[in-house]
Amino acid sequence: MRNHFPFALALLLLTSAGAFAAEGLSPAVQLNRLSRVLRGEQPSEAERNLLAEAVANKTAPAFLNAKTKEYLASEQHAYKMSTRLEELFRLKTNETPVLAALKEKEDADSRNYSLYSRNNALNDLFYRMARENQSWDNLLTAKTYRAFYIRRNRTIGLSDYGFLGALVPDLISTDGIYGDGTSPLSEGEILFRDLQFSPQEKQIAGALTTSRFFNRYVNTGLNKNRKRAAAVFRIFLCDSMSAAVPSSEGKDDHILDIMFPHSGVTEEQLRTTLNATEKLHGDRPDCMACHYKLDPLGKTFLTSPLVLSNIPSPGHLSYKRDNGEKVNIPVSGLAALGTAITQQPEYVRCQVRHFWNWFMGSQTLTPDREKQLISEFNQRGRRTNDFIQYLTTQNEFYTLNAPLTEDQLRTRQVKVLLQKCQNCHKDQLNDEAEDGKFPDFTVWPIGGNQTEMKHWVDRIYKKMDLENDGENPRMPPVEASWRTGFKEVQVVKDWIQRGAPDENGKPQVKP
Amino acid sequence: MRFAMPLGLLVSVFLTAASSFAGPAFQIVPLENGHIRLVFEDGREAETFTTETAPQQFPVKMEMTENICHVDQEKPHCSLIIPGSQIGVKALWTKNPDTSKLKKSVEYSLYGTKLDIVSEQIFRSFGDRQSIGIEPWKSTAHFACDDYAWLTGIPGDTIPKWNNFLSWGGEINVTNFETNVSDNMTLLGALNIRMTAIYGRMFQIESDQLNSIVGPSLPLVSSGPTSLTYRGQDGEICQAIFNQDASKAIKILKDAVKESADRYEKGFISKKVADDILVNLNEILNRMKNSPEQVRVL
Repeated sequence: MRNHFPFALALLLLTSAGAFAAEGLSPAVQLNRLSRVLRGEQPSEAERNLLAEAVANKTAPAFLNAKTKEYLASEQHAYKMSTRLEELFRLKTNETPVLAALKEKEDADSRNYSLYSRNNALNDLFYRMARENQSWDNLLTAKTYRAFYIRRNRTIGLSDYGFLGALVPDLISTDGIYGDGTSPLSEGEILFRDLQFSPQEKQIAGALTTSRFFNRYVNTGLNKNRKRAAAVFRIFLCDSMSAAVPSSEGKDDHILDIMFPHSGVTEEQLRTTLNATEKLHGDRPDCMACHYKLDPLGKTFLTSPLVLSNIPSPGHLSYKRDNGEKVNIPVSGLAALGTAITQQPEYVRCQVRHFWNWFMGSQTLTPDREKQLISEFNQRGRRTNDFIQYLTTQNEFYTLNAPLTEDQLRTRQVKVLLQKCQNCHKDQLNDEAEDGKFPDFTVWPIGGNQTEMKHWVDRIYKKMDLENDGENPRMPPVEASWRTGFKEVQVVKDWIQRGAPDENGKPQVKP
Repeated sequence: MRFAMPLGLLVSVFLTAASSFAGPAFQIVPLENGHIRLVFEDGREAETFTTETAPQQFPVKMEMTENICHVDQEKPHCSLIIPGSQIGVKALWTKNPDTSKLKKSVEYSLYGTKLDIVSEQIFRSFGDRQSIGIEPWKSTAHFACDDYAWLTGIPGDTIPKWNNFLSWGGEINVTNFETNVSDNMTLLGALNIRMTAIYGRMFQIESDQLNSIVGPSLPLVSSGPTSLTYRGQDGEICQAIFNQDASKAIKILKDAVKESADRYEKGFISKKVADDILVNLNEILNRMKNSPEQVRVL
């Protein structure tokens, strides 16, 4: 039986002592952290004994370094990264083998789903990112797939074979996609084939051109691939693509829903609210806040409503940088789109943030630190494990979450709320500003100085009707996907009344 | 490479399991041409039989609701005409002490609902590689509109000699298994549909790339909207959306199925359909084993 007591004790001591940096941690705690984060399990007793020997021999750093490399090369790490990516892509997370075994008693659909979710080109790509220390860009540019075909009696989605059939005509599928009418497999049997597409192939773009991505982000004529486009913006450019908020008093909920892929409103509900003469495309400025990004990117998927077409559909990668600069890159198809995204600074920053969240947790990532990490990410050829290994050498990796002070906690809650405001306002036209932009509400002081901060804090106070505890708020508007509850209203009100203090508790405006 | 156990072994596992529950367990005996015989413990027997409707044309109205290349152009009225016939496969009693049941479908009860123990419906049509391993129809489908300006960009224009639909996507409302949310989604259609103008007023349409993940049905026909992409005159890729009305086609099909309901014979059953039947029967046996109170053969 494994003896976990020393680790439990160490953790107890750590949590009670506040923040710890790597140099302040014992090698045992460091090993524990490495093993848990990289492999998802505690180090073995044998490993702990070996570490004890290394400590006695004063070779603990070399031992930990070797273990890091070993863990990074392990299957467990590859699966753990795969799970992280599943969560990032908002896919149903794969089951552990134990859970999968329990499911064997469930119905055929569940069994089929389990088989499918473990054996498809997207999950295989996720797995290989860490297993083969691939460049992170391969999520958007990979031309190598392991395509799977699982014989299913019931429909739960596309197989890779059917999905890729237009590009690889001899892939045999028997579930109705390009089936040749013969059935070489029985239920539950799995075929796979390794495919290497030409670097010039215009329609292959890593994760974007896999059956599971298409199954997750389904398409309709009305939606015009906006769900897929929104997923690309969220995953690769950290643009959450919240619905634009009309600056007017417009109550066009149904129009907003079109560009609001995750609102929970179904197409059916949407269609019933639209009348025949109504334009489905928002060409008004408020609608265009999202459409100018979603529509040109969605167009690159246009010829592939269900399965991947061999005919590329030209589109654009369009968005605005934080400094207001417009990006509008024409792309000849999905492959060009994937490549174009990897060349954007917003992409690199976004991916570094994903890594930060996965390996450093909720610790604050300052702009300077972010710049440094972006540089390190690039220097390592954006290779998955190389960058993770670098992260494991950083103090933040070993810094356990120290309890926040009351002020820090409140400030964080306010920033979370303001981020929601920011998601909507960032692409809107601000008539009052010379540059037509809204300031970033999460960068303090808002607007860059105390005068502007005061102006915006007053506006927030009024728009949220904080004087009346948010009884008649104009923000967030009724069209928005979120509402402020009483508690949230009180948090913002209290923050403003205390002078809108920053993360260090320093008031930024006069209460 | 294959990983899982062969079907035969799978079947025998289920058969062994089936013998341990109360009720009329059955064995599955393979016959020629994809047929099977069900041999029940109490001596009753049933076999699979097929029936096929007479070949017919199935008209589907298509009304355009939107065209991203010609937003303000008048929307045409179109029709899709699908040739085909429907094949049905059922298990009919061949030995039963209740003689009134002979040649009648073997039924079972699932959660109190009566269902046929074997019930396969396959629509045999043009470009029909998706169906059941039978030869596809040589005849093609047809597509006609009262105005082709949406393809040519010229109001009142006549039919272009040639065009291709790059994709055809039909929507159906189902639950997305990744999100568990029920919504419209494209689940059937085709890529690279070749269109050839005939008689100066309609297209003959063909495709080797029909796709569907909703089981055999009228190809290119969906309950939800249909999206077509094609190249406009300037080479730009356009999308037009149509609402389909397949009520007439469905009525024709229903009448034909009704008319052929008593004409079961020993037609060919493809391996794909035979496999589907076996998988379904195994599922029934599995349910009988795990939840005998919910499932029983009638």
